[in-house]
Amino acid sequence: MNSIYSYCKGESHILSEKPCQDYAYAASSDTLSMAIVSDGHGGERYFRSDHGSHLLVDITKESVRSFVETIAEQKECIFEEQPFTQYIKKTATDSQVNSKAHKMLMWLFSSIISQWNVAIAKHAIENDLTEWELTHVEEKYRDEFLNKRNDPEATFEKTYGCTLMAYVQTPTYWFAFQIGDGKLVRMNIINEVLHCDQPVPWDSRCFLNKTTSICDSNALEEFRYCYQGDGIFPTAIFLGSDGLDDSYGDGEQLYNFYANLFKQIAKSGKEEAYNVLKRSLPKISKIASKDDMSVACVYDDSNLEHDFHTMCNYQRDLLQKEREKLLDVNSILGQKIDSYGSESTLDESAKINLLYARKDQEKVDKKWEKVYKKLKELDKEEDRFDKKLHPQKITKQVKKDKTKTLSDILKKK
Amino acid sequence: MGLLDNESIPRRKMILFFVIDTSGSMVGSKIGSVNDAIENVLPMIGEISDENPDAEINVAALEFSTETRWLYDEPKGAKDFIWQKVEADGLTSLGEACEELNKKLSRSGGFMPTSSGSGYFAPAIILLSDGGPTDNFEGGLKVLQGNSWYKSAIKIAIAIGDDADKDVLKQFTGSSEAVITVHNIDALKKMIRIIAITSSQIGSKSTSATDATKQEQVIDKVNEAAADVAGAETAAAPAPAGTDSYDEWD
Repeated sequence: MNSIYSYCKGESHILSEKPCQDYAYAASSDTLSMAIVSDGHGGERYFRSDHGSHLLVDITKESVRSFVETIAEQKECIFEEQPFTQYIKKTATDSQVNSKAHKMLMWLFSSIISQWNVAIAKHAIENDLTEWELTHVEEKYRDEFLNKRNDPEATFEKTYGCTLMAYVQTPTYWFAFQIGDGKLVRMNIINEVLHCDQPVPWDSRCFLNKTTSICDSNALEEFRYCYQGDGIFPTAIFLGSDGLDDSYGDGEQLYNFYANLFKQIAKSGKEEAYNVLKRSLPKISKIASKDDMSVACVYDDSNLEHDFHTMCNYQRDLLQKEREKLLDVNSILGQKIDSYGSESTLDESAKINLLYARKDQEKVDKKWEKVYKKLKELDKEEDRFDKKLHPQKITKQVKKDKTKTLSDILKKK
Repeated sequence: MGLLDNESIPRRKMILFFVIDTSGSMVGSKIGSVNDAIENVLPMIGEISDENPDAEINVAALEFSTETRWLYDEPKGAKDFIWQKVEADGLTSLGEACEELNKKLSRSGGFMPTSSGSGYFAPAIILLSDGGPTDNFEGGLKVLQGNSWYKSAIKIAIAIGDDADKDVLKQFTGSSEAVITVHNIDALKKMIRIIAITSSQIGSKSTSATDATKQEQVIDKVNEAAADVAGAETAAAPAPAGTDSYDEWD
């Protein structure tokens, strides 16, 4: 097993002189691997969420270690031979809630929440308002914070509020948990085919810029998780804060990004892949979401060469699917355009719809060319990878697809 | 294929919805002004979209009278949106319009390709109406109010003239401050422009560090601008007392 992680300040935080409120961690060994990401809230009230996320990741790290040791000491492992199981309170069954695994995990989450609250209270008492806070935070939130410092019963969760997601793997089981937004992506290779999904159930309360949080009064109920102990392990797990999925969306384009990251590790090794990731995240933030970005990954590095090709095949399949979709769209547009007949017989509304159909057809043609270009780049990338690893080996000649434009395809038909 | 493959990063999107009353009472200068104003504001929204590094603005338009009709079956880029003049005739099926809006503010069969909101900003919805609904508005609104996109949306309404049911518009937008009443053609055109531009500018920006929601920011700016528009009335600055009507639509 191996791991990689990186995080960066978002473009909007650079412009507004705010600190990076994301924090990430990942580590791996033969006995325990984990990846953790926490994203501090951006609203003014949460002006110490950068400290909140850092403290939460550190506490989660130690709590998970302790939890895994506790399970190891027990006669029977709570996850032993358990099939893939998911939990979210909204749809939980009685048997789930009564299971030992559920009770133990709730104990873990409860421990994380209470340790975090103790840690942030300590931080609040020991750290006066900084120069930056005095000049950048609204008076009402500074006053709220200062009043609480004078109240021994007060708690500080709002000031430090953040999300949390974590993945944990041992030789016999794995589990993952989450509170708040961000996406946890699983990659499984089954019968030589890559499958990507998000195994932790989604909480619909996390929508646009709203999220559940460790600072909510009912945080324990908002934790959701999954686990598996029947010997099946993911090839890779990627944790990304919402800066990532706001840049790529939460579907195939996000999975494609992670496939590229995995391939980078296979191509250039973990250290160089880390450097590439570290350079790329701020650029992605600048182009896309403008938010803080963090990625943490745990992956199986026992078969990188083979898995590289599986990733390429996955990406090739995505591109082929896109081509088929474009063909369908082109066909529908073609039929629509033909149905209008002669332009001189059309009323104003029909002329406009015809114009749109033609413009859409041009867009489809351009997209087709882009997809063709990407397929060629993918082939070249695979060739370079193979030549680098096996310079003496004669690579198989792949039949070249010359259908560069849609009209080529239509001519063939 | 490098890690930073720019072409795989889609631009974040924001959809601006125009929901337009095309019932019989809008006939004449009212519908003419609406057509004129929207046609003229679209290129400006296109410019905002082009110059905005944060998001691309797409536009969708729904007209409602006895029935409802989307101008196009998918949102179009603001720059490319060709306005097709709408005509006024029939009743005021605002309830049905709410249900239709609910259908499109969804992933399955709708305009929103993601259920978690990733990659999108909250939409902006501008409702224009001069009367009161003639169908089951409460039923339609109840359906819409369960929609997450609607709940997060920037919602502003323009009440066209004194006969507009402001209570209904307040229910739709969620606050009386989000309802602007206009009493003449000039005010109608100006407010459509101000509201469309303000909603686009604020709606398509990454979340600011302030706690004021985008809805609050838009309402504040629109109300401030409305104060300088003769014939426009806000909840904060209502029409002078004792005036029965000072609508001028001729």
